[in-house]
Amino acid sequence: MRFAMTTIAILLAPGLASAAPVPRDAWRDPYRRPATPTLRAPARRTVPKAVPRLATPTLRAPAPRTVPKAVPRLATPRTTPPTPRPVMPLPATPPTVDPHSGSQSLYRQQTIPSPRLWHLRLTAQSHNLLVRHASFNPLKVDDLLSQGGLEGGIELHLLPRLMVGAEVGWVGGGFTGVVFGTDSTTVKAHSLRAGVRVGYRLWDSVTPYVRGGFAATWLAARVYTDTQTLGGPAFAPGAYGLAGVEFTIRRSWMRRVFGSKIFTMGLVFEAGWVHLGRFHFDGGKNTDGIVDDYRSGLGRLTLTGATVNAGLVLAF
Amino acid sequence: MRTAIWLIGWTLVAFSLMASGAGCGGRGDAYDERLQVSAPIVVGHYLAFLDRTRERVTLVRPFTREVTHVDVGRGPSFLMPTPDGARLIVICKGWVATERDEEDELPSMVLIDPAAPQSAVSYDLGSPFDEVAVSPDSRFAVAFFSSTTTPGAEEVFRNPNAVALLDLDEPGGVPMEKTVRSFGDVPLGVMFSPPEMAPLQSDGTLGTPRTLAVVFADGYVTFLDMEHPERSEVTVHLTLPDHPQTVIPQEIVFAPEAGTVFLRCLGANDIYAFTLTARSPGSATENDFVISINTLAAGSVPGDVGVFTEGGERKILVANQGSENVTIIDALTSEFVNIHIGDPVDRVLLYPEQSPTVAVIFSQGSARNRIHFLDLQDVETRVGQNHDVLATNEAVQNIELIPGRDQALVLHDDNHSVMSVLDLTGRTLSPITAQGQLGGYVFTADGAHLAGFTLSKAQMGLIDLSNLAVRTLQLSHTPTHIFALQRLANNPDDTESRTLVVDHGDPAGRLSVIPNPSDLSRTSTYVLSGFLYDGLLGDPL
Repeated sequence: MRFAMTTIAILLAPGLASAAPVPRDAWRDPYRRPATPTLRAPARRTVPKAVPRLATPTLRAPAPRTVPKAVPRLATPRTTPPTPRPVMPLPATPPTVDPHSGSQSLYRQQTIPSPRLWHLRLTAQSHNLLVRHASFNPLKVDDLLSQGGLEGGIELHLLPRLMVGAEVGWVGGGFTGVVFGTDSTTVKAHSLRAGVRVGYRLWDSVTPYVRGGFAATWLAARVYTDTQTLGGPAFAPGAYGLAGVEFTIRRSWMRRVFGSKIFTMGLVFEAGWVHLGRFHFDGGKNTDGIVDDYRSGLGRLTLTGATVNAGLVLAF
Repeated sequence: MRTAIWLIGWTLVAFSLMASGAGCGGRGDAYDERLQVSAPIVVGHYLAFLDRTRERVTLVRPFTREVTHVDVGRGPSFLMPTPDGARLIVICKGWVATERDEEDELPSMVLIDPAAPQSAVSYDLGSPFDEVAVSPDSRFAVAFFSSTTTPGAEEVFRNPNAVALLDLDEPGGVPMEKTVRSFGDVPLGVMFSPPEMAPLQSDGTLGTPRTLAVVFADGYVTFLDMEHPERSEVTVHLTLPDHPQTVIPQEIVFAPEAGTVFLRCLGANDIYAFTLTARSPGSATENDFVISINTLAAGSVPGDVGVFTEGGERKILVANQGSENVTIIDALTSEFVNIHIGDPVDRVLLYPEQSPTVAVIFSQGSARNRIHFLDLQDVETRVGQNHDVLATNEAVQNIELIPGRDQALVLHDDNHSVMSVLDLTGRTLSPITAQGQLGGYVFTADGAHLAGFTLSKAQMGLIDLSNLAVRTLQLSHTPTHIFALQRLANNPDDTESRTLVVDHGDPAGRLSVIPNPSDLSRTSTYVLSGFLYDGLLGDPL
């Protein structure tokens, strides 16, 4: 658990740091040190405690700042022409502040990058389905069906914060158990899922969403006695509905670390309801033996319940 | 930032709830206990298995491959069919709650009609009885404690002489519980008379017929009137109070037309004759008959008793082990005739069963190579002239009459010559050899075939009893039991009752079904497997 928390903290730290609110009028702070052209990224500055000021709008723009003239050194005459220093472009004219706008308005305009029209997403998740149905009891001591899943999808930005996407994926897994003290049980399940997803970006790195769709599950449940193997494969359609939140690293941070902001990564947590389906194990006739063998079925297995999923997301 | 922390927090809460939910869930304890399923018994056209772990009865109809599970009460311990094969009786010991959220459950007796299992009837019992005995006409039942068991974990005290009397033809009937009079011992078993049993009245005629239940105990027997369970029982001492002899009731035969009951006991050389005599009861809870005892001298160490009618008079045939003779006793006059046999005989078979004319006599306790026949016609006058002996190559272990035929099966204590078919009219013996020790055998309900198997061989042998033609059927697995379905009384043209069923002793259930032994082939034979796990995923335990 401590490791998980540490991992979450490490992955979320850049995104959360970037999400720290900036004082609204920082761009015209009179104590702000003038920007000095430099080849390196400026050291992190500490913003002095804001002095309360009247929220009076500036009637005119501040005087443009000028770069101080270069003074020739007299001690050693330069034999080669000086290398021109890169000039840091001055910030554009600050946005006009609406005195009636809220404090978050300016902040959001500064942190949300201009959205792309689409994104591709890849997700690897663990799925933990809590099956509180009597038909599951003979197969496993507890009620937890844990699976792994891979999903891919595409998202479209309909609005700057609203994203709509489509997704397909595979979820699979299995377990072994014991029933009646000696008989082992096995369950293997593979699901193909397809659905839609709607997300709303709170910030660049935090996106709550809801998603839902349909599942087609192939499941094999078997009970092994000393002398017989009962059960077999079955198929059932199902559906799912989930709500979750996605924490991703800011793309600007990805650019600084990896040199590219074409992708980002993060964590995803979600919960919801999954109905994998009702699986029928009706038995049948086996003609392999010396005489025909009519095997009894195990009955019906209903896999439905609440689920909690967690995983990693890679977004392009 | 605050929103992000809120989201992370709720995510962690969801995961915690999920983990705790998975841990708090779980299944019933029965899923973790070893499955305890009894060997099957035949009930009409069904085979019944008592599943003690899941507290239910599994009914399999081999002919139609139907499988039905019938839930019974807590602690099922005993299973038996009624003699007519129409119903099944299950004794449940009940449950004493050990947890606060549990509920106590009284002991009960469940009556199941396999053809309509949903209409099972449950009778609450006052005590967690071990066994039940049912009258031959399947109407009355007596639940009692077995003398071989001790109080279970759910019992603090036990009254071993408690019995419960039930009329099974009354669905809403309440069991009559009473404690039979005891002289310090516990019941060994319960036997029933035919429903025609009646006491003799003073004018020599018979009184009101009724079914009597006779409770055996060391040194005494107790008579209960099943038609009037509220009436007091009649207990009869088998020894004098100052006589330290140990007398254990072994066998009882009834002579309803004489109002007499004959009892053979271990430890007594005499046959006890109990005559029921009518009397006027003083109250509703008193009996309307009394019992007079007579002891019939019958040689030494009687081993078996048979009753027949000869010349309109009831006779008792007693096989004596000690004196190596048989005794014919007149039931009315107690006069007897001894016929020397020359073997320590202890078994008597009367043939035909309805109106016997021949007695087949042999020794089971000390096997001999001889079978004795005694013609019952004028046996008291012809005495030894009616005696005939058939010598056998192998020692005779047991003889069983084949239903509906003039034949008997003779079993030998030999691994090779396992059995012989005895022609009762010609008194000839046809030996049947086998590849190994006989594991089990059965006759079909119509008496046309004998089926059996030898140990450790996945094969079944079939003998056509009309011509003694032998066939072999290869099975998929080794047999442990073989059964023939019962013919139902109300269906004389019952072809389903010809079905033979081989149980393979599989913990998940496996039966080989031979629907028509006359057409013995692998194509008509099939296997039913896994039926004890049928619907496993739908069982809420």
